Amino acid sequence: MTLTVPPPMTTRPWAILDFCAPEVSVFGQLVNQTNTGPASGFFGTANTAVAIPFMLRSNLTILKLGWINGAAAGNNHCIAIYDASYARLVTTGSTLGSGNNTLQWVDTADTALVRDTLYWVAYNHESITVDRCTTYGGMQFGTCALSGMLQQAVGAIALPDPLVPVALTQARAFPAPYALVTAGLG
Amino acid sequence: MTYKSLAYNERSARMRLPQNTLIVPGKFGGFGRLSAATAQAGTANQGYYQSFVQPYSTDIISMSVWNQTGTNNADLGLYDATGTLLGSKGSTASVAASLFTFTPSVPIPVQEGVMYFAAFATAGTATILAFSGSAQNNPRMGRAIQASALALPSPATFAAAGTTVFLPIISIVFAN
Repeated sequence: MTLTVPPPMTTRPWAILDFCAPEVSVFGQLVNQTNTGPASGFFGTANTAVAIPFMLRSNLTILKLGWINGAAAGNNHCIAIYDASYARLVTTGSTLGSGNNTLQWVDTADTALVRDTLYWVAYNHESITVDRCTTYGGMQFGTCALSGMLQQAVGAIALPDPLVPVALTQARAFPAPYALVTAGLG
Repeated sequence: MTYKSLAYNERSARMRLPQNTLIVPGKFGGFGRLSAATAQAGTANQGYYQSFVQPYSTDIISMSVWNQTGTNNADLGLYDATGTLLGSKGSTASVAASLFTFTPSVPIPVQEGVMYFAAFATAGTATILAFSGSAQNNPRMGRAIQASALALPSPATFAAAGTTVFLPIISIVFAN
């Protein structure tokens, strides 16, 4: 993707990992085929988290996690990475969205992710107010299901450990999460 | 301060797929952008075959399509390039708003660099999440059809897809 914001402060070589890229997730494969890209929108159900599986082709260490706020930033967001058993590896914690249409980073504990290994990225938001998030909207129930997407009614903004996801009950707009990464295992 | 970008997704010699899953047809099935996904009904009792080249040797754990509305008998399976059936679900009633999944009792081994055909056959009533083929798009996708192919036959007799529109999205999950 093209950066439209100043690069984050770090002295390490970095790249932005888009969890919705076709090289990273099946969800990315499907949206690459069927959607025009994320846009300012709204979260499906307040405090019902959505998660997609992903896999990397090289070892990476996550330095930060982030999202792109919608046209009217606000309310709290939470992103977390889980292993294949849904144990939480790293999370942003509940963080207030700030800055319309900007990529907002949360500095997290450096977290090494191993190539060819299944992980999950989960996203939660506490509001269904329009333009709080940037989402892949218009996803069909079937597209979401074929991508492996799951959900959990958390009932609060902070993503739990472990995640206990269940099958989707409806199509879900997925707010695109990102990670700032560096090569190697930390 | 200077910043240096790095490629996070450098290619490995043995290409891995997200979630060990292949969507056919799709980017990792070797195709460029297709159409929007829509719920479509196929032609009654017709088989739809979609070729793909397996990127690495592994086993197939399951194959799925999404049944959006209605119910009817359908079948999912895998063929080799010569049309030999390697495994199939058998004609089975599908359920609306759910995945229609073939889980072989023994995972089906697939080899790196070998072409296979993912196959779906339908009685034609239920709608399935699909892309849209066309006279212009079908030739580049290595797809074929066969009449009277429910349950999926062995061997398959591949016929040109021509102007066939229905192009079911098949998700294949690998063992690793």
